[in-house]
Amino acid sequence: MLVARLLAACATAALLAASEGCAAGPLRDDDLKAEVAYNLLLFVDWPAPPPEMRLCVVAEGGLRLALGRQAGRPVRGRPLLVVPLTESDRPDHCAAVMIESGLPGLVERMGLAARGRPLLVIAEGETAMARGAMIGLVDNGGRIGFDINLAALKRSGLTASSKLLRLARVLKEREDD
Amino acid sequence: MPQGKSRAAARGRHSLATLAALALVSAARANEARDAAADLERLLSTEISGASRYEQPLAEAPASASVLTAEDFRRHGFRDIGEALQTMRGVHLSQDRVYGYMGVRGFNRPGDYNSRIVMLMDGFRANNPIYDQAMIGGEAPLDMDWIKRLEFVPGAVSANYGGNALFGIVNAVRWNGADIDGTRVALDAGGGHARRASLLSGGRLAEGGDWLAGVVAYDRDGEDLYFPEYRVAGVSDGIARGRDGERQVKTLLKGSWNQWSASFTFAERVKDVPVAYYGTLFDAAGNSVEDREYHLDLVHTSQPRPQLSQLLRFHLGSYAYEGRYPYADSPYRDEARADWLSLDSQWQWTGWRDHRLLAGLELRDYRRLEQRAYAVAPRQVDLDDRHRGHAAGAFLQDEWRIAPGWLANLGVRVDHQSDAATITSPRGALIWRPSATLALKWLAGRAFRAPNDYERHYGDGGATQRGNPDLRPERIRSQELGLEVTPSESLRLGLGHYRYRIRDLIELRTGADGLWVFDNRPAVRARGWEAEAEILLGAGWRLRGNLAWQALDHPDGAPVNMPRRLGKLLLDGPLPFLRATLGLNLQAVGPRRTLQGRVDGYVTGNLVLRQQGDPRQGIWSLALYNFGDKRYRDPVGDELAPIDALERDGRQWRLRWEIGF
Repeated sequence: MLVARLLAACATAALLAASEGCAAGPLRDDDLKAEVAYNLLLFVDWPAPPPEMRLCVVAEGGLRLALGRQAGRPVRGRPLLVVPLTESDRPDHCAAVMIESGLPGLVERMGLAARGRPLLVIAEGETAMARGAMIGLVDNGGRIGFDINLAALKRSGLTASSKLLRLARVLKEREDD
Repeated sequence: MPQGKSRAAARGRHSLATLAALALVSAARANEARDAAADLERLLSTEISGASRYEQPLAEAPASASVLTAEDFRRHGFRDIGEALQTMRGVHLSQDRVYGYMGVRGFNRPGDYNSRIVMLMDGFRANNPIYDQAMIGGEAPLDMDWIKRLEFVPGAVSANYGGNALFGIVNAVRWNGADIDGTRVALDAGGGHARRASLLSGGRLAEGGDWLAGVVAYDRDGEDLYFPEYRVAGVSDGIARGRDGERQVKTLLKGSWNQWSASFTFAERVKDVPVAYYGTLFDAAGNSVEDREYHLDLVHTSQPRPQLSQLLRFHLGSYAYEGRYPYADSPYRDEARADWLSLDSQWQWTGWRDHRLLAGLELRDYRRLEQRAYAVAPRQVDLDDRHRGHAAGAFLQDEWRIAPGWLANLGVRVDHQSDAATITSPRGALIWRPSATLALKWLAGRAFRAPNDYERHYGDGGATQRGNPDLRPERIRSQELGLEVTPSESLRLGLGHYRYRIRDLIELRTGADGLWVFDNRPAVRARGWEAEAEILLGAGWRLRGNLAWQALDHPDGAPVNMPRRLGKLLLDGPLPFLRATLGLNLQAVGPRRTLQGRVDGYVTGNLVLRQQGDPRQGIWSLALYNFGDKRYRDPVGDELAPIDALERDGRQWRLRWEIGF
């Protein structure tokens, strides 16, 4: 476990500090998705600061563990809390929810849960945005890219910074786009 | 100094300090934001470790897929993938105490070995080439503890997966080492003196690699079973004593490194046969079947160009079967052996706006296809059939975003197999998603399966069965309409209608010579409706249910083993006062015709209570299967005569203790 933690820390450090110590080789997709998800949170504004920066995770295995390793990192001056959620749970106390791909109907349900309340819905897959996610993580030529659903963000009172919009692969501005 | 002024000055100093602090904070934040933006930009340009790059789950394919996750397996205590699959819409299971048989959309004929379903494990095909058998019971070459997600995609999908994909694909996505990142141990005890131990261990390596090792051992003595059909005064009391035992050993090794991933799967299962099938002696020792297989799978993924990704897969498979039959004059053996290797390549091109193109080429070389049937003493060989064969397939598929909210999926595949005509299988799907919460799907496709080695060549010297080398491939055309609605955050609904037509259906019949033989039959038509719902009840409780109405026109009249109605229900949630979860699973199956008569419909249920808590402290669970002790029967084939329908297990229990560290 210690070795695994050291390796993970090394990989993270390599990414963030860009180089010293360990070589930044290829990263597991789960680790990279978790890093991207954490960084996305830094560029989204909630209408009022959530009481806790709680990232709820509907995922099993590697992605859940990788997101768990992001816990404690600062988001808007507060430590990130990472909470596992099952498909049966409602995202009642979450500031953001991250959904693994391959769970039919879940993105749609979370998208509805976020209407009119400040819940950021991040989901994996090309169809995530069409199904109601605000940010869809996608394969962008062997790298991770993301799409942003501005209409869904606006409905929940969330705003994405211009830097985030600039880095997005696709911006969906209307519901029927 | 007047106090007011002093206060004002102090306020001024405070404001200045605040402003300075704010300026510092905002400067720091601006720096942070710049750094964060640079970090994000760097992350987005980091290449994903090759072997585990993004894969589109089958569940996101244009079909009405059903998915169960490891959390469902834990809460509902499924012992094999068959038990999990039968909770899905349009699926019904039967068994004959030897193998499990999966019926889809009303189709589950005696004599079939699930040859109309393609079974994938982490994307590789696991059907063995002698019987084309998708194994779903204890005989399956995988264990529930190894599966992260089980997907079932119904429909005629030979356009993607080649032969045998008439009714759909089952895909078992197995855990990776990085998913486990530790060790899990499970110990089970159950009815019939069942004992099982499972160890699964995995971890991460540098450079994004990982490793996984799993081993499972299962042993069950079985219970004494009463068969009234075998009760003959002065000969037998109809009880098979200790003849229902089962032993399994299964192992999995898996790893990934840079752009490579590899897995090795081994499974061996011996099942004692308590029924006197094929006219064997009843309640005699030495009536058993043994299935043994291994799969070595090697995958390389790469990104030759930014819009082009490539997957190469090399697979080595081996399957061995041995059936041991006790007869009064001599024990008898059936043996089958198959060795094959395959090479698949897939390319995905996303260079054209609004299109995602997928092309593939698949080559399979059956290096050994052998079947033997012989009496042991005195040795008399009735069948010694040896073949080689090959198969090749090429496919092209385009996922085309025609307009906002509209998606088309068009594909075609050409398959060539030794001993069968070249067959083209097209597939089309159109999906309209006017909003995030509503989707309408139309799907149409054709699929086929070539007659397998068993159907073409198996014979036992004129005793019961003969081969039919002149069989033609059977073909299916299917069409489906689906509606998926999510009216609220706690409700999801699905409705589907399908029609299919199979021509040249390959079916076991009794020939003019009194022997069983597989033959092509006239067209079979079927249609049906399926509905499903998922409701969040609050406090972590979830209810899922589905209903199916199905009808099939068979040339022989009312089809055997086809319930006209199916209903399933899964309810699970936490019981805080017990610090446990409860899982309830109900199955309702309508009456079915048997070869000689009919069996009644039934409702059975499983109940699982599972402790919640820290897996490092150990977790207990207790499962009751068929908790109402319902007596019900499945139709079986002629080989079990005089039994026409076989009683299923009554109430069963399993106690499990698991620990993770």
